[in-house]
Amino acid sequence: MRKKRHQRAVVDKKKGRNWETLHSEILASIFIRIPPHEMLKRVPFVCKSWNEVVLGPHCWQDIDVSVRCEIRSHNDPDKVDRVLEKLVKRTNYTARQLCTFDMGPRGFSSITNCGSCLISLIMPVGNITDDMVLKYIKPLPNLKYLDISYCFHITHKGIAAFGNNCKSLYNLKRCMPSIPFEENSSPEDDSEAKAIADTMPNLRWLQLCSGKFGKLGLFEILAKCKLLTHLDIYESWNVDLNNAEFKSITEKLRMFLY
Amino acid sequence: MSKKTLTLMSKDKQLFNIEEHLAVQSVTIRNMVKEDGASSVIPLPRVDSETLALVIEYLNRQQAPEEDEDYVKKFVDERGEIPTLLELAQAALDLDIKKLMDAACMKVADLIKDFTLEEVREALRIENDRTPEEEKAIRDEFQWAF
Repeated sequence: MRKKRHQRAVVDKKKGRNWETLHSEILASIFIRIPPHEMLKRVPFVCKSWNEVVLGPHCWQDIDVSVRCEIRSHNDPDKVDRVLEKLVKRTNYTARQLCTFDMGPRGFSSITNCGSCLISLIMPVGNITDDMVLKYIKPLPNLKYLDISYCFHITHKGIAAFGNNCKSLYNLKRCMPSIPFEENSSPEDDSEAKAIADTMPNLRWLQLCSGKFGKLGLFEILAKCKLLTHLDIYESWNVDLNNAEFKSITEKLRMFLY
Repeated sequence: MSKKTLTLMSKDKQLFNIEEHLAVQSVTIRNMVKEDGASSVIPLPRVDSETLALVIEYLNRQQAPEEDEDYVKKFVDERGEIPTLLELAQAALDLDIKKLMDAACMKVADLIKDFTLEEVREALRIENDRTPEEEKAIRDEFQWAF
């Protein structure tokens, strides 16, 4: 029985090629281009060497479980966290990019363990709170892109914690659900804008759609984030600019959506 | 002034000429040229002549930069055979031509992503080397994904 399993008639007759032993970098490069939930249903089962590639670090440096989260309308945060923990561990904590919805504290704590490897963290929608951010955040010196849109439990405290630990951050996305102008009743609140201005001086791109900040917050960001080139504050109703102010901002920035 | 030409030799000892300024899109060749001027023939012991001809065709493309992405995509699309694409990816890896390798891998991923397990094995002529018990073990390992 054992012997039979080792007789592998896997030679491509035309080219005399054994595709099973293709360079693992190429296999990984193919596998990462298949949506992960599809990939995992088949690739590990093809043969032993393919499974080894799936288990190895090459395959998981860019972790994107957003499709998986999307196809399940109700995500159980515990389950998302378990998936994330496994995947991050598989990279030996060298993940470069992470994209997920509905992340909970365990997932967050395992991703921050990637430290200087992490470049992009996309974690919109979820139950992460300020306390969790403060508890689990670690220095992420190379993080360039952060998306914390629709994270309702993160406030200026969590944002400041990100800012203080992510010194290379140059693109922040923090959009909130759109509210029609007539229905806007939220009072002006500049705390998030202040946190961004104070802790994220290197931002180039900033998206703050439907934010609660007012004119003061906006000008604080513009004064302190001197490298800013792209700013999107669409439907941030508490900002009321006069023509001169609007003009001065559009002259300063390459793109300004208001 | 005539352009400097390099000669590349495939695994099966066929020779291919290519202008140096085009050949150095390959980081491997660029480094060789830097080191010793690469005046003689550059041997590529792992690339067969069929594949090398394709690589040369790719390197010789005369595309405007903004059309290059489309060209690369079309280039691999026209070679939709999985074995050819894998040879191409391997050669692109050896020669360190990132764009070509990424495009070839993308195409293979596209082709096999809807295959069943059996179809993948058939297309790549791989035999199942696992027992049912071992398969179950993997299924358990990846349980969380299903």
